[in-house]
Amino acid sequence: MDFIPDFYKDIPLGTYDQTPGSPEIPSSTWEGIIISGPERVIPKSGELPILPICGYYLVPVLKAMDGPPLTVHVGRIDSDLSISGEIVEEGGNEPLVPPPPDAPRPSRELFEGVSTGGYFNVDAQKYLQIRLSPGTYQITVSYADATSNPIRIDIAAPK
Amino acid sequence: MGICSKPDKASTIAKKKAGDKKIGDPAKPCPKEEAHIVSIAWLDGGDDKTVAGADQWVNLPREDKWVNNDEIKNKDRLGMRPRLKVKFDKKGSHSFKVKLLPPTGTAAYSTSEKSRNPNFKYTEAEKSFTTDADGSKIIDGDFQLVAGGGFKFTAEAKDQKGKKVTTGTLTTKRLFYYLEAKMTGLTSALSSTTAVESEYAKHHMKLKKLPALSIAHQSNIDANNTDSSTLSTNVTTAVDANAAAKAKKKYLLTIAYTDHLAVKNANVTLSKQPVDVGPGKAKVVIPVTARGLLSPHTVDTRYLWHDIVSGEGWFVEAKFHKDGGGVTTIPAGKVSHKGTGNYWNQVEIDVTGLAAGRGKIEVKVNVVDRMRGGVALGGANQICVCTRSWWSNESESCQKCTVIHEIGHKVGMVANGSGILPDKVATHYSGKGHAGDHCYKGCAAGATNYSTTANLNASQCVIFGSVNEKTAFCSNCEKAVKKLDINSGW
Repeated sequence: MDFIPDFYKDIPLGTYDQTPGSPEIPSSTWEGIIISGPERVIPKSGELPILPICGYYLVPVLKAMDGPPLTVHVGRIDSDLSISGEIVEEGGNEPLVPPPPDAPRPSRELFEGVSTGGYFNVDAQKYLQIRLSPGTYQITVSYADATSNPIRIDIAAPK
Repeated sequence: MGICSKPDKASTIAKKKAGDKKIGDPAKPCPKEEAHIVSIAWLDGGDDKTVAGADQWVNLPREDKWVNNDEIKNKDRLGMRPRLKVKFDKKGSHSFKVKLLPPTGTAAYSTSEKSRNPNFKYTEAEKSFTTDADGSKIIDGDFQLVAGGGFKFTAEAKDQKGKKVTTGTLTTKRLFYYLEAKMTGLTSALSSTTAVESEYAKHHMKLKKLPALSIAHQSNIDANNTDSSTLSTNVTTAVDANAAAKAKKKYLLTIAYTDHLAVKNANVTLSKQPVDVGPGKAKVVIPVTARGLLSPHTVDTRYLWHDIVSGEGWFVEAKFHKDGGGVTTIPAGKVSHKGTGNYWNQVEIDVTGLAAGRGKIEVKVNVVDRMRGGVALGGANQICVCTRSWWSNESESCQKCTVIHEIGHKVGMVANGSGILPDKVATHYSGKGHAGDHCYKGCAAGATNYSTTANLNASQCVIFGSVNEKTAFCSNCEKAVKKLDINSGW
């Protein structure tokens, strides 16, 4: 699969570090969610398109605690098609060891004025119920009452 | 045509002329129907050696290399298609039919299971045979048992007169080898695996232990490929260097022990505003929180990453963003951790060295996303169990639970009704606060998040998604464990 720009082919999707595809953070006082992605996705014959989205969020902890998960929204430019999918990653088989009950946990009040943030790199297609066909799409991501900048990605017909 | 060895009746002889019948005359042909079936039995290590009842190790191939002179004394006790021998009371060719009687002992496979996995179907058809000239017949490969354990099979043979004979009982079992690969320098690795073997034996799975091996120390196996690849390579190298272990490889599972199986969430940003900084101002305290890396991605308290991997700490950077513009880097020495014991869940920033002002403090830290009790290494015959979690030694009961749990995953639990697996376990769930396929027996059905303390305490099955110190499969899961097909090994 080819991408324009082509560095998107090297972005490790499903990871949470800053990558060459990560967006610039607008300003030191900015909070919200911001995303970037390739201008064009060009699948090879027989390939199903991948929709790489790289993003960063910095959102109030209390809103993130109470709100829905990170969600991707995709709308086709030339039609009314609009779909959303929660960005949910399931892990492999691993039993967890929870921290002991007496491990310290702060009360909610301590989170007032506190924001949490991090990078993400995902294949948005993975979270959508339908396979995107060739066309131009507008994509946003929402989280903790914030909605990202819209980006446009053109999915070319396989060649 | 059979050869009749039965003497003529006296009355018949009397009718014949004297001298017509001499001692030593060749036997004359007699009709087939006069021959009767005598026995059918499972062969056991030779064409003339039979056994009344035995265990059949169905998952292992019928090859000499799997005969271990312990449970498995000869090749006939291997594989799903055991040999049978039928005998008649007379030499010659005699027709007869054989079938397997419906097995008892373990619940029958469902129609769905049988449609998905041919190894779940025993040969139900009655088949016709003819004895060889000696009046016996060895039947080899015509009757398939099943891949599951605890099924008790009996074969029945019937001659043309309707006389029936049956074999003794063959009970299906599964066997695989395992060894422990302990990293050097561990302080709390599981001292005994007897409980592990006992639990699987209950489900007709024999775990046969080979001598332990030693592998290089890794203080943590993170979720990244680098750590698990290194571990997998170390285990493979150790196994390959051990002839006895290498010979069993296809049916050998390695249990590696490490210190932590912690997952790091790196470069988490935490910010707080408004804050006043400058000489005389109070320290700024920020609670550590982050979005979980796995479903349900809960935003919750996290603990700072420290003393897990040598050279890795929690602090990345800290900055003060002054309202109206200007960014000042805060030295690492001005940022410290707060918490209880090793549970550092707050960062504290000394802002007295900054120029007076108001704004936002932003710190980047590494946090613990989660601690795993064990992992099944994908695509390999290896699992890894932690001996430490949350900076403390893991108890024996936790390690036992984890070993049984992880072996469960390696043999196909928790069955979800797909592919060659048994039908979906009634209390199966996937994800929902945990990672992978697990069993919620004891908890309410339909929960969106099973990773709560209440669910942990209520859980009853060893293969619940958190380490709950149980050491047995629940009543739902044990049915599936008995049915699993592990013929392919690893």
